[in-house]
Amino acid sequence: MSANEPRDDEILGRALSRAIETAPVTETPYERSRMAVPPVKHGVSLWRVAALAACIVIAAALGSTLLERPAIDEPVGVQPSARPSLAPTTPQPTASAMPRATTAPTAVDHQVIYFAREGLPPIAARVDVLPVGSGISDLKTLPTAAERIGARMHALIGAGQAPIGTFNAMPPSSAVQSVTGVQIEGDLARIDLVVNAGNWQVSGAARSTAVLQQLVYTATEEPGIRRVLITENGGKPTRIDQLVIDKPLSREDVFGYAFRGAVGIDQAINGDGGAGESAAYSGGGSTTLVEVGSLVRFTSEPRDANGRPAKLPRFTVWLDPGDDTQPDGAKYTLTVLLRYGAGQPVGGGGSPQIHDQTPLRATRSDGGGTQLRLALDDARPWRAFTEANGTRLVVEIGGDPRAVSDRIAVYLPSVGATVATELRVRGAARVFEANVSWRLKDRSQKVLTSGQFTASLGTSAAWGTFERVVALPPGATGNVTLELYEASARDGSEVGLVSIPVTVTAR
Amino acid sequence: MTDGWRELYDSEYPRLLRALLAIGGDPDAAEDAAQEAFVKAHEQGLATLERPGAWLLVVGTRELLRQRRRRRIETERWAERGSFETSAFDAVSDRADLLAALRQLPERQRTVVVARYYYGLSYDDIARHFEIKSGTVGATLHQAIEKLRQIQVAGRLARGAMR
Repeated sequence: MSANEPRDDEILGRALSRAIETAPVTETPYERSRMAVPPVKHGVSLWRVAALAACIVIAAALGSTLLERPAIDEPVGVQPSARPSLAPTTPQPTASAMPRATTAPTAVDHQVIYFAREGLPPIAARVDVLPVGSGISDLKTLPTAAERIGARMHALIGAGQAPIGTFNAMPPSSAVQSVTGVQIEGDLARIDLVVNAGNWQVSGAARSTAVLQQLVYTATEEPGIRRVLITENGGKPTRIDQLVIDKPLSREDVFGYAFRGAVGIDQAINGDGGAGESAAYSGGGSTTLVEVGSLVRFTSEPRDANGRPAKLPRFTVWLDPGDDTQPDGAKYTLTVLLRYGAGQPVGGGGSPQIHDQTPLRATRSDGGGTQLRLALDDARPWRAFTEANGTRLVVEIGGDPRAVSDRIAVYLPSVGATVATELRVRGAARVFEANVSWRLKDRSQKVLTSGQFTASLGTSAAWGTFERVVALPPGATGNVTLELYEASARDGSEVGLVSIPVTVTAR
Repeated sequence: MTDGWRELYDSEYPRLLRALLAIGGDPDAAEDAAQEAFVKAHEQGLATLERPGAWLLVVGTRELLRQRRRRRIETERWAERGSFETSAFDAVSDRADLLAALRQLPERQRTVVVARYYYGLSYDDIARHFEIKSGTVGATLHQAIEKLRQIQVAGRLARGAMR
């Protein structure tokens, strides 16, 4: 050992310390930590197996960096009561509530308006008084749907500061001045706005889209309403900058995904973890429900009688239109059904759990824990797959629209991520023979490097997963785009393309 | 209202998250383990934690390694990493490479390195908290550093990162 070594050790140690200290991380603020927003354990049952002494955990932050987006302060975790409130005078006691101290709401809260997010679907925020200055603190006191819609629209027009992580794209009240008429026809709401000289004072496609998202989501928040036709100044067609609105719009028309989630039992994803036809249900298992940004990720891991991970039975997952006039209903219902062999215990309906965190409004479990229904705000794309050798079922809803197509969903790198030496690519795919093609393009669309890999599963209803590390070629610096797609088996054309912009720090 | 939990969280969480990221290399797992450590701390009660920072590091690390063992089964190993060789001494990428080099060490060494150099724990503390024989902390540390040095450019990178 030379005399210099201790000193050299110290230098290296200090360098390491600096490196650790300056490594890019996405920090979860206290308000969203699991202490402030406790995972609900034992007691409030999600997947109704509590009676059978199962461990039920709603974990909050499993994927807080699944979609790491340092610029946008995204909600992490299922936080039924920690939603941003718009009321300037109302403190949010629940934001710092201690574990297990929250009182569970029993019905979905429709007293909300929507705010926009950069590149993501809008999210709801509760309004305590609406419209501003009206003194109406409980929307339910308004007798008709038209009045309630009108109140929400007024609140939207007069909304000020947007909650953290969102923005308000709505034009100033000098432009869009008021709501003059709301009419209901079946599931359609017709809304006429007073727009000063027909000028929305909004420019740019992104801003216009954000305005439209806020309008459509807010207008269709009313139970039973699925579409809205927005007109201006006495029934004239509306134009928000270049965006012409001449027909009724649903949430799926504006949510930003290129595809909507498959609807109907005939579009179900059927899969099998390999437990066999006569698989018995032990009643045990753990369930997690995680909400990160625009992604809801639900996992179920059954256990055998000895508490060991058990293979999943056959399962079916499908999306149906829902009944949002029910206290625990929403526009759509995603059902996850574990199909154990005949003669397995079937329990009664569990009590609903209200989440009210866009897009997940409520959950309800039935069948002794073999069926779970998720009440959702819209029909955004969803997918299902198994992990861990058939012992874990994963159901995902949504994700960043830029990273999701009908057959490929990418979690890493997240949109706009900064990387230094390599690209960790992680996601799910449902492509022919599991072949996923990728390429990295520079700013001028020149392909820097490309390749192919296989997902864990292909050519099946259930999705496969993938995780790869792509070494960055020397020329890859600054703004690059990672593209993933399926090369069509029929004609080689590219389908299901997702393009994820990434910044490579100078090396 | 938060009885000191917020203060503890605000002061300790960023450091813990970074330490766990350095040890495990996986942001998701680091976040998960950090959150879990705080939940465990909360269940334990603040008054019983003599030195919350060190306590959180120990519990978080345990949580992290437990998860990692689980995860390793389900995800196949990543493809080969790119070379650590870099031409210019840019501080940002040097640091990233230093962290990557750290990840090539065995788990135990990584943990000790982070506890010593990032958390500044004494040899005695490390021995006690991480259940290592008190006489071997220094040796483990030295081995770890030696190995980092051997990972070719690590030493050079270190000086680059210090600028």
